[in-house]
Amino acid sequence: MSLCFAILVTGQPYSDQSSKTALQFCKALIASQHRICRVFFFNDGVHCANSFITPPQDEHAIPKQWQALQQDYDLDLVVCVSSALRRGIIDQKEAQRYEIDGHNMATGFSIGGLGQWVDACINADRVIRFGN
Amino acid sequence: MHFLYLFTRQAYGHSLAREALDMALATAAFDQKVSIVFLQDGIYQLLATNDAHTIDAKPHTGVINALPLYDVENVYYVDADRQLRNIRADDLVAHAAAISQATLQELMSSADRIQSF
Repeated sequence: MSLCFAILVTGQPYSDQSSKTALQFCKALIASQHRICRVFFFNDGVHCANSFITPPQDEHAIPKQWQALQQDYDLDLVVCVSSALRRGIIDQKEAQRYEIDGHNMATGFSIGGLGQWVDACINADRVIRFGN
Repeated sequence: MHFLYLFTRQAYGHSLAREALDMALATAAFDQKVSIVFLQDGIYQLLATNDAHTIDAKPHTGVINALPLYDVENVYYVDADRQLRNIRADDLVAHAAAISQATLQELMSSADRIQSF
């Protein structure tokens, strides 16, 4: 039976395992023919969308892995606007609104409100959070 | 749909206490039934007098007191958590009700969505 999953990521990349586990869990869902109705990045999870993340060459760039998954499977990756603005994750539109030079949100992610998470919870068969 | 939120953090240690509360409010704003249980150290979020100015934080009581205004009427704590921490029931906000562990289990089995922060 194919189920629809809503995934909440609250852990920041490189500090703990949670955002990597979320990524691997999503890959496993896709491989098992399940669906991902939305991945919502909330609280410290918004750092996963930071395109400025530059790990050493022998480590994986977590934002790039999410981007690749998004491109291959058309995933809906939504970054919580209030969590993101507090933590300096800014897309072009928000940068213009707040008159900030430059923006760092990786392409493939979109900025959205908590309503989009509530909507994903309503439509999903399973709701899972990754983070401490 | 009935959303149950389990909050286990005290008010000021981690931003998830505040941001998860915002999530519960957003859920209520989308016309869903919301219940919140402040579990374990989460009960400290319900203290009626929380002076946050000395640590340069936004007072948590503001959003806790706003819960009924957002139609979040089901605000609970487990009485055993309160007793364990020597907190007087009078020191907690009046719109929070004590429940037993058994009632918590009933809530968890009746809810459609459970999220813990």
